[in-house]
Amino acid sequence: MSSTRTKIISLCIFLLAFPAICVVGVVFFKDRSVSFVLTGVVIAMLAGYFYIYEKKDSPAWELVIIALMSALSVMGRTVFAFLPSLKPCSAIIILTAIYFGRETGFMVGAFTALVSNFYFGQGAWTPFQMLAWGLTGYFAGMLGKWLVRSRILLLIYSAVIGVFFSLLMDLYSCLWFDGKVVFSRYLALISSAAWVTVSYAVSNVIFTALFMEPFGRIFKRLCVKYGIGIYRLQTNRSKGLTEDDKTADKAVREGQQ
Amino acid sequence: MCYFKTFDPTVPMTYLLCVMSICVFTANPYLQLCALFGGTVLLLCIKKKKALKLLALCAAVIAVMGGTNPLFVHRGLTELFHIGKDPYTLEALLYGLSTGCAIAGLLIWFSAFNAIVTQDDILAVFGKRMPKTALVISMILGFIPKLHDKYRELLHAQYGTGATRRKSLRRCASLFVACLACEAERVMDISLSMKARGYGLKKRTRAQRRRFRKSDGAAIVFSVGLCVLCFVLIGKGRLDYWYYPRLSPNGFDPLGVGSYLLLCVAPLFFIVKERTLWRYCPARN
Repeated sequence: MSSTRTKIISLCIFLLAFPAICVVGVVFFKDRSVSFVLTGVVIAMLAGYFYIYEKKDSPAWELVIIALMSALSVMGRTVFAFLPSLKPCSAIIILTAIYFGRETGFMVGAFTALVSNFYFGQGAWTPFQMLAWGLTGYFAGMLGKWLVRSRILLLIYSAVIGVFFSLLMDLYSCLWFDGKVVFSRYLALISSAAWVTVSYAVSNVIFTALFMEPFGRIFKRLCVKYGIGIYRLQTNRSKGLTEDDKTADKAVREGQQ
Repeated sequence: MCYFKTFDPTVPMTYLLCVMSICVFTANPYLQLCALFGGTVLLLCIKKKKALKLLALCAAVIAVMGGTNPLFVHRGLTELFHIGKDPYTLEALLYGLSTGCAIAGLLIWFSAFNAIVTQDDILAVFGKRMPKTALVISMILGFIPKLHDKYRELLHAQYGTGATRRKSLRRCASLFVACLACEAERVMDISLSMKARGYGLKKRTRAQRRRFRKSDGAAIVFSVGLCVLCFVLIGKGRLDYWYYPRLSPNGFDPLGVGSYLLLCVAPLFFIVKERTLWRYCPARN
């Protein structure tokens, strides 16, 4: 697929769709224009991203990994349901994104939100949730180089992203109610959702710490064995091995024994 | 629900989108009442007693939103009483109720959406336009039961060795990781076989189960037409309604409110027709 056409389409989304949504919101829904514009922009962003992804040539392993990791994090929501308000979804999304790149991370996040809502009920929150989890994965993929080296950075990232998105969601709901930021309401929302924020951050940290090592081992093995993910460019072994490569090799050898 | 299975899956989706696009974002209380009425009756017809819980939740949402809004917003001229120095105004109270109605309408109509539109319908609609997304979604829906089976198998194997039955985070996590380790290899084999069978070489072909009939087209035209009519009236300002500083005297446009009410209660026609047929036309032997 020609990349120029994809670029033109994505430019069109930014230059035409966003202003159109704003105009429609202001003309038709005067008091509630902000909520309409917010929803419209989020849906347009997701649609644009999915369109670009749809037109791109992506290898079969990528689709399969996205499907597997999304299924796993949807399952995680039910397997760990006996622990109140601890969910492994974000941790799984972050770890996948680190090893398989930011686009895979985004898609895993978006599909997790979409498909888990088949079971827990779709709603107006679906697009926001898709974008939030997608961006969790996307940023993790962008910072992947550093996050894969340092465990402490990874834990800090997962805690921060939990708090950050909770605050962002509160901001969204505040804008949705009033059409502008009423500071007292924002504070009230934050304090009423404080338990959710804390549990979100804590569960991110707990599950990242639990899964960091075994998931890393499995993913490294896959990456080395099939030449995908972060080791995609280093399939040619004559380029010299990095420290990570050596540990991965060791992991492969251990796996074979 | 089975009442709408005779239609193409695009029809209920378009219809619900038309209804929700207006009821969620409008500030006009008449339109909101229409949406709430239509949605409540539809939900009671589809889900019967199961809907009552959700309806109670919606009532609570409306009450909480209405009650708390004047605490944060002090606009409006009709003061009811004072809390500290701040006035508690009627307009803010009504605005809060209207916001609550928007959220309740959203909950009710999305609940109807979940009951009417199934996963198969979504895949059927988007499978043609977005083959890759549809492929991934159907793969996810296939992997989830397999992963669950694997998890249960491993758990029972642990029970077989005489382990305790108490659930702990550590054990669940280790089983979870084992599931991934098992499935990851198998899944990569799937991707290799996909590649070997020519994935990505040609356009995918797909079989269509249903055909788009004239009645489907008519239903879509009906719902989109009424929706567009409402939008035009909103754009002309005939359905405008404002709360501050005083409640607006107009906003009740018979044409707009009538057409939106017709849109909201349209599915009841099929339900009533079907029930009457089953009730009064029994098979003769």
